[in-house]
Amino acid sequence: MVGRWLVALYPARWRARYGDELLALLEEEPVTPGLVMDVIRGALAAHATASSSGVLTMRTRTPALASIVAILLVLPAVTFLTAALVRSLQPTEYQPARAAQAVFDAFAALPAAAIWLLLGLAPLLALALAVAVAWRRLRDDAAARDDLAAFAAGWRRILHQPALVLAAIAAIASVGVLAFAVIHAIAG
Amino acid sequence: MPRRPDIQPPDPGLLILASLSSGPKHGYAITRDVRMFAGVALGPGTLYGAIARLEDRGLIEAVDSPDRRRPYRLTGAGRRSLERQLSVLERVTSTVVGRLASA
Repeated sequence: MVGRWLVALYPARWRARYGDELLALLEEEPVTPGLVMDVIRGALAAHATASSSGVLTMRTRTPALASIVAILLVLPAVTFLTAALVRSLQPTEYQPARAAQAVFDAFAALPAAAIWLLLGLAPLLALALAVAVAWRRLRDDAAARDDLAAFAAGWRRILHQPALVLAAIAAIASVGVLAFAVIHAIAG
Repeated sequence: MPRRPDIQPPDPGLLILASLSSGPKHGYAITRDVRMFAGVALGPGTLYGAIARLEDRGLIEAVDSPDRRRPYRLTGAGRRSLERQLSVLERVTSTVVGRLASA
């Protein structure tokens, strides 16, 4: 499983050529922090090589640009809704609710048309772009389809282990509570 | 052989070419061979980064195999490149050993 995740870090074209071999080698080696770092370094180098040697063609660059645009389109709405949520969680005399209130007020001062644009049209466009990019990538890239299938199969296996799921929920909840306590202690 | 902090390991590409000089090998066999003859542990990322570069330059080529672990072999250009690199290393070694002996 770890091996598949590590191989997924490489560019799709690289994976199509060497992915199976690298996975076979990873299955022979014990997973250590040094091995993980080595593979991450290799994946970064493969991405850098792909970009500089022109392997990253227009066909792959356009979806990358579209994904960035989708993130930028949805970012203001996410910021606004996060600020609205945070300011409702505690009195606004205290941080981070005070900063959240300032962000919320800045958005609220915008004209109604701009708010509809940011909260309605922009997320709709982002959703359309994201779905189009994902659909085209999955349609054209067999390795990406395999990765998605492996990812889904992994989640299915995990969800069929109630003890593991409950332990994960307990761990995540504990981290959330501890983070909240630390933030509250620091902010007073 | 443990790696000493003051010794840089040789270029992975050279180590792979050297390993393939005794015949075709797949990735795992290359790492074992290199560890045995050079005392260098090539990580999987380093190994396949170097394999991709060597194949791209036409110095090694994949051998058809039904196995997931595809073997590689030296090409003619790879053999000549290895011989040139070894010749340079030999000259450097003999020159520096002579200088150290006379210093």
